[in-house]
Amino acid sequence: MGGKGRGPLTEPMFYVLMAFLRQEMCGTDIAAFVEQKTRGRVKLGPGTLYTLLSKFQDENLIEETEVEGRKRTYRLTSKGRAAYQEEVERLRACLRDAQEEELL
Amino acid sequence: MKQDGALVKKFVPCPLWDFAGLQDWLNEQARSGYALEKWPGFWFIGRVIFREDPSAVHARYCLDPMQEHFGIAKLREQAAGYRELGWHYVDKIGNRYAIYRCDDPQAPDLYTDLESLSWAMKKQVRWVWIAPLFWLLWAAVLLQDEWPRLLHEREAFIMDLILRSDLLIPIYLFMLAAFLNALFQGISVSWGVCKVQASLRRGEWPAPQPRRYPEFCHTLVSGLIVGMFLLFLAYLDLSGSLESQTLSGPEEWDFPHVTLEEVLPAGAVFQDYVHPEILPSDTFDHSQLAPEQYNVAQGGMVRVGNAVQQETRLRQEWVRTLTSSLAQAVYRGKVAALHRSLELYRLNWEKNVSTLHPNLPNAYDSLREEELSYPGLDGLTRFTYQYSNKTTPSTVYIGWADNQVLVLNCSGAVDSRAALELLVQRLAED
Repeated sequence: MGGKGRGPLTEPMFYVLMAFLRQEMCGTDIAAFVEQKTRGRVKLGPGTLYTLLSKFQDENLIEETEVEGRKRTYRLTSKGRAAYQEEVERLRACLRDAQEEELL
Repeated sequence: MKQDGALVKKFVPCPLWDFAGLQDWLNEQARSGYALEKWPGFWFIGRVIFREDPSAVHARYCLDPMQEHFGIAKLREQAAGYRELGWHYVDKIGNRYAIYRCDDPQAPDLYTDLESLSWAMKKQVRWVWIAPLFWLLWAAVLLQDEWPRLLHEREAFIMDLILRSDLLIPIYLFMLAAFLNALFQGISVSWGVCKVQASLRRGEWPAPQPRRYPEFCHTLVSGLIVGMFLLFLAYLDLSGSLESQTLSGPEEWDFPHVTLEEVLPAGAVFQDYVHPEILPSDTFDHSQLAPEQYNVAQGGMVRVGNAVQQETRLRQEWVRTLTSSLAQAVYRGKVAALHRSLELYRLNWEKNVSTLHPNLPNAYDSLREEELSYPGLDGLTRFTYQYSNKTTPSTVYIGWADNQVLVLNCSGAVDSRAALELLVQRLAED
């Protein structure tokens, strides 16, 4: 999973990290963001979403900023931002390779 | 969500680790108009409660693997988060899965990619391995007195098994069956969860298991084991097999024996104890492997000629077993048990030497153990010892002939050689 020896991010992971780029978010905001951003192509079930949030927290890619009742808000850490950037670079390289191949 | 439909109990057809099988089954029930009402916790015997609910036809059920240290507060918090996305908490299956129901056909599934489901299961795999470890620990604690005996006092352990076979063999078999049953269950669950997780890691939805109602079968087997054990205990209690039969005196000694009067030196004057109750009661015991077990004692004060009166005892044990090899095992057990008892006495003496008997540093003035060959006996061991705080030595013969074992414990004025000779002669006559 992104970063050192963790392999590429899955699509849901990539979009969940993307959701935090501009602002802090809670679970439902993230699900709405991903659906809107991908125009419904990527849907996040609650199990997937909360498992990813728990995993990201364990790996210090995101951190909790606010707990309001049962609503928890998270933000991206510098490590999370680096993992996201690394994935973007990887995807760009993939795209470049594909474009070069098409030119040939 | 709750309706007024009738409650229906249904047996769970697949093992509890079978994530896909359980989920499929719950959804099948929903399509047939049965909504899950309750998944019993502690009293789960392999069946769950549904309610007839026409609205369930359009519902979806999904299982959510529960994480380690998943307390009720965390579960509630997660359920609240899921509810906002259309999934309602129904119940949980032990500490394995939380069950959610969704009535919104537009809402995405609980898990929209297999990888995240695989991560959710990962923590559960670790948790599941704790179960077999728990049973191993349970067995170790439960048998904490037995393990050292099996390792260091094997002969005495086997002897006890023969002499108290009616009680010990069923108890050990019960414990073994209960342990194997629990261990098998633990291993099968761990194996199942690992299998599910391996499928998810490969990016495949786990295949549901054949429907063989294993949870109910497991409950049935466990119930049978416990039931049989309780019946066995009730039988032992009612039949009085656990209690030794007390004998009133030599007239009831129906085995080859000698009496104290026969083995005292000529001219010895015998006087009963003032308090005869200090002698242990004569007993008779029985087991399937050793049907006759006598343990008798005689004793009193004896004066020989002008010598000082001395305390004299003759204790005899006699065991008849079903076979000669069982008798040999009992013989070896008796020797090992006496050896250990003398050793423990020495250790205990040395431990308390400075406080209780500073002038007597040694427990024994003499101690000897010899294996002898004796005509008429297949095996004979003689222990000769004298406690440092006593004036007369003791001699114990432990012998074995065919399917009989004898123990002759002589102290005081008893002529131990004459006693052995007479006893062997009577064994031969018998």
